[in-house]
Amino acid sequence: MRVTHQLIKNTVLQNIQRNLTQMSRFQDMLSSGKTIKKPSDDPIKVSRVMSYNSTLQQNEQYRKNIDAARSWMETTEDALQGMTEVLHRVRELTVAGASGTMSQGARDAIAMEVDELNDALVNLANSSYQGRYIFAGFQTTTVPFTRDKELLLTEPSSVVYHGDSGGIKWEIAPNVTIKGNLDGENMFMDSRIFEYMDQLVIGLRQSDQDTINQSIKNIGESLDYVLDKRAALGAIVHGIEISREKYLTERLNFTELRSKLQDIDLAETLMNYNMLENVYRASLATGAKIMQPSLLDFLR
Amino acid sequence: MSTFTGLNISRLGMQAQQKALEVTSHNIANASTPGYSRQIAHMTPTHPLPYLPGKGALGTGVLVDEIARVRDSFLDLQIRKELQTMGYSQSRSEILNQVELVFLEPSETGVNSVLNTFFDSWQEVSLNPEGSAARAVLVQNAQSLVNTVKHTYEQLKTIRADIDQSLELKVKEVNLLAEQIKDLNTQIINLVANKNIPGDLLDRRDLLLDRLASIIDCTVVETERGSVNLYLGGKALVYESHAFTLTTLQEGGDENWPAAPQIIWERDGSQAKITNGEIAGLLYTRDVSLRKYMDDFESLAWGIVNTVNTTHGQGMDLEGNTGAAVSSFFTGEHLETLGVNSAVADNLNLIAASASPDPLPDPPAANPGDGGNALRIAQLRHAGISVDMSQTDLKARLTLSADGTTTFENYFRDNIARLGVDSHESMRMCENQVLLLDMLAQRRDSISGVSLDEELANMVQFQLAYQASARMITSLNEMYDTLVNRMIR
Repeated sequence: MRVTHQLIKNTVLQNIQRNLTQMSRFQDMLSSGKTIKKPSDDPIKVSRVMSYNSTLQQNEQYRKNIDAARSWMETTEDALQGMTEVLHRVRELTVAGASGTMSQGARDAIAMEVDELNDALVNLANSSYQGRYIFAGFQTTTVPFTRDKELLLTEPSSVVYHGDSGGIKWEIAPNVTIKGNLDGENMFMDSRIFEYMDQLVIGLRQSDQDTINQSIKNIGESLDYVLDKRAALGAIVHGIEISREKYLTERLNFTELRSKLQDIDLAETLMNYNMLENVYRASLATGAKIMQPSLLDFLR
Repeated sequence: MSTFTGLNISRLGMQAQQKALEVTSHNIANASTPGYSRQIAHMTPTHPLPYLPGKGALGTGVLVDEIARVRDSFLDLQIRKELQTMGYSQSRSEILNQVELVFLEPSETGVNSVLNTFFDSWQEVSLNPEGSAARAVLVQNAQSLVNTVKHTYEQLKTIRADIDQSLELKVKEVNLLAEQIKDLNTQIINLVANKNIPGDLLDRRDLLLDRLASIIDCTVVETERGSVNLYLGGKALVYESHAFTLTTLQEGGDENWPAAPQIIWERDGSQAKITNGEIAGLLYTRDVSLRKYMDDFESLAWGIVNTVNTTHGQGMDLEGNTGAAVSSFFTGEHLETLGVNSAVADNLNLIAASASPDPLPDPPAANPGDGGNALRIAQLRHAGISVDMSQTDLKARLTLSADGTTTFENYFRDNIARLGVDSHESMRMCENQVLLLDMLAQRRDSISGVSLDEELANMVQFQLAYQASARMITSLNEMYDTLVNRMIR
């Protein structure tokens, strides 16, 4: 094949250009730390990286959801614990008050303490988490329980419930929701705790032995009820803690998988870059050498 | 046979070598001219005189009978064909590259990420529906989503406008080249009629034909009269001394796509059939590829807006509004006017985060702690979507469906993957064509290129021959001198 100077020059230029293009690509990878910059670099990889990004972002949100749910339920647990202690004390007092040897004055004193403890129960029932009432169902911005002793003239209980029976749901995994609240309707009104307390006070003041004896049973029932609720709550909290742990592990796994796909192996890339640099230098040197001599140098 | 035949032979020899030297110096002078094919002074012996019958003939000298242009026209044909494909792939890959940069995936600022953040903010509202903090962040992130969508779409529209502009410019270039080829045709026809072969003009015309080949796929037909006729899609673009022009006309729009420049013949308004080359690449990329990406992106945006609005309308806000009284979350009839409802942005209580209770309370009362509807909207992220490609209304292409086969995120991801594959493919084609053309160009250069070494060697050869012929004249002169001056008495 006949070789002309144009041909040599073109070949030299094309090869230098090709080498430079390769080098520039590697330089780009080294400075960004990523092997893929746009979809055409590797469409399948890009699709998977996008999917990992979404999953990681989503899991982060679910973790936040779980944290919020747990805080709410911890506040609930604190309130329930307080209630348990109050109810224990009330039972003690009731048993003492049921004794036939008590004087009316002593019974009145006990009645007063029980009345105060009822107030304490109402306070616990009005517990709030970040300004939201936890036992109010959906009406979290209004105080759920108010006590008005006047009501005892016509109603069995002096406590009125202003909330509703709404169940607050949170999502802790795709399409997995938990109901995290105990609504006041179910917790306090259906279980008649306040009613039992009020009746006990009346019974003590009137020294009505039947009422007092009934109250012992009622308070016992209430205690069991609260304990049941605490157990159930504990189970839910345990469950979501397991989910939380799972998310932390998943985050590690997915981050690692994503890194394997899109991050460069620094050692390998540097090595390739150095190799290319040598090739580039060689092509420059030989190009310079081959382009220069011609017959003109030797004709006198 | 005259006495001075020898002188004549030497004279012819000197003239021929001189002519050859001129051709050589022309080659050397044009060694770097693009598109130049080297010329050869073709020498033939002149018609010999008969000598003794059957015992040979007496030569009478040499003549440069042709200054031939060394060019392989079949190679030119091959190169032009490959130039067309290269033009097509190149214009396509440039545009697809730009589209990729618009979408900027994978990244933390792309549509994928912003969409995820949007759904995350609905989760936050479901965690804290009473407060205004989560709602304010939701409105911000929703605005962010809208802005990203609008910005991306605007950039795609800019690319489309750029294509239209490129088309105009390329059509002008085609017309200009056709005009120049026509002029060269006229000159060459004249020269050929006078039995001259103008090598340099032919070179110039070939260079123009190469440039034209990368823009459109025209068929080249050479006639005996020396002109080159160009046909585009069966119709003549250049016929001997006539050039026909192309122009652009805005047409071909429908409800989702504005009228765009199409290429037509100016002489009768019919559409020009262009199937390869840069113009064809631009047209295909605009009308098929870019259109698909824009349509898909727009239907994704509307799918999200519509499903969020519908689900939002099924809830209850903090003021107790339900049903038709609930404000829509997104407003806007067109993608350009899309936005978060300003009423909602001003009054965060209008965000319907709670589920609509059944039966409805009378008078209307809100459930502040209920984030059920916010949760439902957040769950749209995983909701099944069905895609109905037969729908011409882009707003109705993506719908919520229980047995939907994809999700919003998957749909977007699939589009990006398709874009990546298209772009990768066109870049690969481009690289292949570059390699192929390099190889063909090398072959052409090998045949038609000027080798300085060769020309210099030739120069030495012609110079020596010239010197020898001149020396011959000196010898002959001495002989004549003897004959004329010394042969007396």
